[in-house]
Amino acid sequence: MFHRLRARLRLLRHREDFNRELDEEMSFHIDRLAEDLMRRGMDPDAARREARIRFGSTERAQARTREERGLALFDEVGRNLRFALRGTVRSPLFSATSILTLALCIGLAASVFSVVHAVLWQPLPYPHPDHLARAVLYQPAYGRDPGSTNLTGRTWQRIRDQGPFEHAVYSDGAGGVNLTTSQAAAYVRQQRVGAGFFHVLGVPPELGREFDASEDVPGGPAVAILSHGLWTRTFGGDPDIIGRTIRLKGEAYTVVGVMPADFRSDTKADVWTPLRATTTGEGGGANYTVLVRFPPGMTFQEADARMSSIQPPQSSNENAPTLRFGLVPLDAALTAGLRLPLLFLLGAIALMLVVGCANLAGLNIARSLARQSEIATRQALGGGTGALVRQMVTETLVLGFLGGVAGLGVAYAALTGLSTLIRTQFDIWQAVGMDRTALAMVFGLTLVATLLFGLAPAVRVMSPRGLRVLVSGARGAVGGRGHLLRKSLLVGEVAIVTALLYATGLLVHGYERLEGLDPGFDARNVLTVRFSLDDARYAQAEEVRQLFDETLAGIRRIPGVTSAGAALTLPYERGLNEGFRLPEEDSTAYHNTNVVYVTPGFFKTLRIPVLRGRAFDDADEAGRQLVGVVNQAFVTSNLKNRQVLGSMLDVGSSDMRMVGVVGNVQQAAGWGRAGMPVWETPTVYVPAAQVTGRDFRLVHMWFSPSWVVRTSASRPDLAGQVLRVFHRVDPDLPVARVASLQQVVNDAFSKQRFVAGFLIVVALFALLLAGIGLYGIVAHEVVQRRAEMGLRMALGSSPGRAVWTVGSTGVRLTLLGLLLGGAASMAAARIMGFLIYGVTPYDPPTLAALLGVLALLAAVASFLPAARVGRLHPADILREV
Amino acid sequence: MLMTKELLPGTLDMLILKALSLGATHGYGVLLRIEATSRGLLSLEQGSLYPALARLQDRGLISAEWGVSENSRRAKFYQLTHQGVRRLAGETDRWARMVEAVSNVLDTRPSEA
Repeated sequence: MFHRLRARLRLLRHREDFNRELDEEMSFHIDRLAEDLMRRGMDPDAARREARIRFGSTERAQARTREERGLALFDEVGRNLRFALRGTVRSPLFSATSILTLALCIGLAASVFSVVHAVLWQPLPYPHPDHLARAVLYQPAYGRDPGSTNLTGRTWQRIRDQGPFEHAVYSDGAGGVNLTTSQAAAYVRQQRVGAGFFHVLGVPPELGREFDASEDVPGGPAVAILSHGLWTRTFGGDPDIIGRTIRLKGEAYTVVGVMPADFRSDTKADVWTPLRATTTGEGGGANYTVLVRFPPGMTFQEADARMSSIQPPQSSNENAPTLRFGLVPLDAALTAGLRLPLLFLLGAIALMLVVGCANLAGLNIARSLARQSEIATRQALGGGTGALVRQMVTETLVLGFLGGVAGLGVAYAALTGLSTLIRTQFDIWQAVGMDRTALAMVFGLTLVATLLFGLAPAVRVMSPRGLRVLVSGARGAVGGRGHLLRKSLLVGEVAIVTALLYATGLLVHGYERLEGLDPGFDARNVLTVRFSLDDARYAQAEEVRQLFDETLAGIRRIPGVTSAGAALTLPYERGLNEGFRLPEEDSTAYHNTNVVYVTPGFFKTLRIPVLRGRAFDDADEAGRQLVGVVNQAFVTSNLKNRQVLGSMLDVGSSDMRMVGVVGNVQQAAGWGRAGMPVWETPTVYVPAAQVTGRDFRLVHMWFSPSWVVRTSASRPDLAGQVLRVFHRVDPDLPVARVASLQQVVNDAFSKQRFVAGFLIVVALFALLLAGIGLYGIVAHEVVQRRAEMGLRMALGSSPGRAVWTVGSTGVRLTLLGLLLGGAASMAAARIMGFLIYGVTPYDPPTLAALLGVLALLAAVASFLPAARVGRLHPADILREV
Repeated sequence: MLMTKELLPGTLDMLILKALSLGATHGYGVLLRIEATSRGLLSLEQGSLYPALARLQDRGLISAEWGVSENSRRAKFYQLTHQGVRRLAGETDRWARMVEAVSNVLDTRPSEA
């Protein structure tokens, strides 16, 4: 078998040689025959003639020889290819539609699948990643949340003392810090990790070593590990970097290690410093993450069971819920926020793929229906069934190949765009490459749809009954099952598009509602700049205050600036969580709230209204009575029916007097209202002037404060002037971010906007595909019923009526699809309502928009081709019949 | 005299294999051998020889090689492969049985039926 195949392929490569040798072999034969004849006495000319006659036709012998060696088949393939290419050019509309559909389906589906696969299902870049997990302390009644795995210092100590596994404690986020070199000051991202962190991940440093236990204690030496990127970028890849000191956060740090180039921890970090976990300060809250590696051979369930043997911390409160230790797989923890949006994208693209395949099928059914009479004719004239099928397969393959090449282009372009886009929206670390399996699978799927549906009607014609096609009239094609199948496909397409459009509409509407929320402040003409104060030079409260005072004074002198202020966090961003209690409550009762320190000018700059009492002023200094301003949401949720102004409040163990109530602003919060991107979070504002040095150090480790500057009109040159002020006050302070307040607001919704935008694009593509399908069916109907409509008009029917009769086929199909799709939409919407904030399953405006769009689709795709009927001249038709 | 078209299907292949079992030779040589060994009873359509040779070669029953003929001209020489030898033996058996069966039938006298 293989011998023959190999021999045939070899022949194919050397077919010129083969033909030449065949010539030579045959002329040798004829010459020898002639010689023998001459020997028997024939004269030379007669002998040669006789030899030729006896040999017979060399042409025929050669042709049959080639056939025997399998070369004939290849000749046919070549002929079919040429024929198919001619056909592709001859029916440009069909070809363009097929190629476009293929390209879009293959390209988009393969690229989206590649991204989703890379982000969600690619193993983490560490050795044996399935044995890495994060520790959680959770309420068994509620289950564990892979997205929230932070623990307090005391919880970490239990894992350290009783835990069965290798582990390391670290801070899962990176904070911005200042790195000062002889050339410049830079803002870099620092992650703080405990001793053994890199060992547990399984990645040793490229140079030097990681932190040891003696360095990871409070008051330990200042040491740092650099990322490969920072090492090459800022230190020129200096091979002698180990042991040298760098100036980080205003202090001298000794470099002890450099991580390899392809390494990244679970967040983007440029430099690592020891965590120095404690149970007070940072460790007093849930700010630590514990990484666990369980031994090889152990399953996750076994490891989780072992973990739950750790005694949970006892609460003095009897009503406190029971807690349990457990594990969350590291990959699940890291992709917790990405899973839902990405699966949405994948679902949408899968639906589009189905619509695309249905469309390809429909197109090919139409085409082979239209060709039935051609096929029947060829068959009647003696064309072999095999040859006919081979020719049609070749035609499909040529289109498939062209579509595939175009799809490959679309796929790579889309992948580049999508992965860039997705990187700006989500913190993903995975390398995103084209998934060849996905590409091949999508390509195969489209091809199968094309082949299957393109060949089925053709094959039926080849049955003995097929000759009826010829009898039934050469011009028309028979409808029959092929056409019904095509109509069913279209109904399915419309149903899917309906569901897709409705889901998209719900998301977009939900997003609009979010964006339409009253922000509670005026974002126009406000510039924000951010700096990291996690710096030894700003360890004392006095130093921070002096920076605020001097920079704000300088900024206010810039022409056009009407007011300026500073705050730890901005609206629409995540705030600092802090515990508070009311005066009469005992010391164990702590509730969560957001706390923001602000300078006196903050409320005025953002135009946050003071509803009662007063905002801060310069008299609220350190050493004076501690004061606080609460927002309306705080009053509503915590101080109902109480005297607010003048009452005391214990926030983070400091008693303060409430002097004012301000309006709410939209804020992202790290706690409460799960899934809600922003809400009017209860907040306590405190004056920056009264924050202690210890608290400044703590909060500046997590947050980089922002300055806000309001101008009377838009001032494009403002940023430069503001930064010059900072440079004058502290030339070593690198800027972390410059953005208008409007940009900050927009960034808060960028994920939602990305998902909504993506869905809109996909839904519109699917709509376009369904429209093409509908157009095709009605156009076919027009051709088929031309004669009938001509007759009707000749008998007195109006052209309008004829157009309606033909066009209404499309409208009917759309309606049927709409009904089916409507039911599916309702089910889908109910699920989405559970998963996404702001989505209500029954949304009349979205529904109305959906109906409008589909009505437009049905009308355009049906009556555009149907209008041709109206322009028919009955007399012409009658002559044709 | 029997013409090529009168042969049973597959017979020509068998004859070629047999002719080549006597030793490697070129296409014309095959023809001469068959005509000679059939004692002049068979006359082949000469052109039809080559498709048959190609078919046998394609099936791996014979192999071909360019060589020099007895009158010093370049010619393609065919010879049996191992597979061809086995096939010839099988075909010969089959043929013998068929001839026997057919002869038995044709030799039947009325009293034996």
